[in-house]
Amino acid sequence: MNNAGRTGIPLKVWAGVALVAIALGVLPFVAALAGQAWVRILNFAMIYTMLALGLNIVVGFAGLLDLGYIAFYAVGAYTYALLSSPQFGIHLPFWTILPIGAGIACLFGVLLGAPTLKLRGDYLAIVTLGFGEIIRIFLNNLNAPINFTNGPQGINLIDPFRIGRFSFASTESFFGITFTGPQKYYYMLLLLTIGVIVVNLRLQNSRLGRAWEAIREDEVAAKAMGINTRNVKLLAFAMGASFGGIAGAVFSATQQFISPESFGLFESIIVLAMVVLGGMGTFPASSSARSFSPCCPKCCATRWNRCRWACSAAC
Amino acid sequence: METFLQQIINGLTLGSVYALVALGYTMVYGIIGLINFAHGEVVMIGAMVALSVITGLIGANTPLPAVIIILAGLLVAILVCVAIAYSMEKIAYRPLRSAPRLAPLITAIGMSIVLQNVALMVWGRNYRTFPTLITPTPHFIFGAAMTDLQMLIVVLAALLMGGLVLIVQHTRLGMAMRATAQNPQVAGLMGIDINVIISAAFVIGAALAAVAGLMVMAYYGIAHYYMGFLLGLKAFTAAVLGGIGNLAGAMLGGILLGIIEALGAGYIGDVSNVCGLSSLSDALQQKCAANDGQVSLFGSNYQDVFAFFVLILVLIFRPSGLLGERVADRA
Repeated sequence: MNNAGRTGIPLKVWAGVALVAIALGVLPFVAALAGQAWVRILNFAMIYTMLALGLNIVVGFAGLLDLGYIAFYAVGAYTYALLSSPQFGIHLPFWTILPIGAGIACLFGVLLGAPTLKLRGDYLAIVTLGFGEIIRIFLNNLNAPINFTNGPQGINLIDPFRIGRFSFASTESFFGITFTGPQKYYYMLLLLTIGVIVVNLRLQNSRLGRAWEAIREDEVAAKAMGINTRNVKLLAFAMGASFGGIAGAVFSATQQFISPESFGLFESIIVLAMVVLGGMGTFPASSSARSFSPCCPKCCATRWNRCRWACSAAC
Repeated sequence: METFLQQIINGLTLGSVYALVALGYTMVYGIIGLINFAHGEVVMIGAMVALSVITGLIGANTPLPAVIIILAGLLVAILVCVAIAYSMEKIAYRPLRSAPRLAPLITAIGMSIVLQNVALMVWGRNYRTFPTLITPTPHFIFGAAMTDLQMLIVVLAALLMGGLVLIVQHTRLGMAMRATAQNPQVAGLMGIDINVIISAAFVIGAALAAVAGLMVMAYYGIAHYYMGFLLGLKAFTAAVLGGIGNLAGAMLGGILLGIIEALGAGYIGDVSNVCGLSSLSDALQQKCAANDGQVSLFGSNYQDVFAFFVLILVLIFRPSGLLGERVADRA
């Protein structure tokens, strides 16, 4: 026991944390050597990590199979897009929209959760799937008679994240180092993702997390032990949804363009596959798998030949 | 009234197809509790194979009558679908039979993606038109038109469903299937080869799917590598609506879903017409005048929403479907 023993955390752990932090800090510059597109892929990986963590609350912790999770992502994305684009001429700053997006997504989560509390297993799966499709069809068609979502063409020219005159989308140099748009987003997303991870870790060990686990293992027994299963399940839906909403808002800002096509059932399934791949309801082992797996569809779609090896390694 | 009858007829036709596909979902679910997401893709493959055979035979200028050509296409489609479903079960699902429930589900989704991409590679991404071998002649029933193609679809679907019920209720195979659905372990102890029964469920479902594929292609006149997705989703919705795992439920659910969809698409424009409120606003009044008094909030492009909306409503009040029993608790 040396000086580090006093805090209860050995020096080795701190050294490991520092190494990981340095690696994460340098990563976007290493990736940029292979092209900015790789930095974008990293950013997508983190957005999908947030999504997967959100879905993990619903599917992993509470054991409620949700096949329409992407709907909340869509709600978050469209909230951001409508409140900061020329669509309605509203340009709110992102720190006001992020909570609004999370809140609206949360509302939709409750909206989906409340009527489906009685459903179990596969019935719940198909209802959530239907819910996801309904949201997508509405986004696709709400351009007539009053134009809300611009229909299948999607919303363009969405504002990037901006703090005062500092925009996340443009290239700038600080201290002699040039930061490109995606690299700046990378650090923002990294902070957000770490935030989401911390919230998730704390949730898992909380009273609520244990209640979710109890419901997952045996709902009747959980109820008998005095857990208010209705509220706890609703909370799972609401919290999962709000994380999805945040991820959607961030997606909207990084892409600066969204259309209903990005929110199909296939995306829900990819996110679900990530959760399953990472190990449902578990945490540490899954994070790596989760942040790797989203690369595959993205990079396979965009640059199939160059990254075939990377895909096969990651999948 | 004519619109109503017409939509009922259209809905009945589409509903029969849904019911045939839903039977495939519900049989597999009833026996091994798996949502076979790839079933919609089997329908698509059936349609595509039948189309290829039929266009091939027409292109070869064979002096065969149209009926023989269609039957040949159907036969080949059934064989291909059965082969695909059989090998799919053997390769993808059998090794996962004792795995947690989510693993085979994800595998099924994966199979669906694989089949879709195979179809994309083989048939390309263009819409393919079905050659008009028989020009549909409409027959009028109380002013509503029903083509002989629609009649054929409804009658054939009814015959196939009746045949399936006969098999399940009155043959040794059917008895074995029912026993396996109730309790696989005990059924195995009674000397039933469970693997054969499960394969049989997949095979019968695939044969029905091939027929449904040909029907839906002939009805709409086009086929596409992506057509199986939404069709499969709706058929599964139909199966859940009727109570999954229940054959009668799947038939009822399919036909109900088809009719609800058709009625919804037919009437939503009138129901959500806001011109009745035109006294409230001048802008609305002008718009109504410009559009012949038809300004609807929702149009028939919301057709696909009805299926899911009705499903959610039904499940709120009857959480296990119209005719269903309780299902397993967790994912």
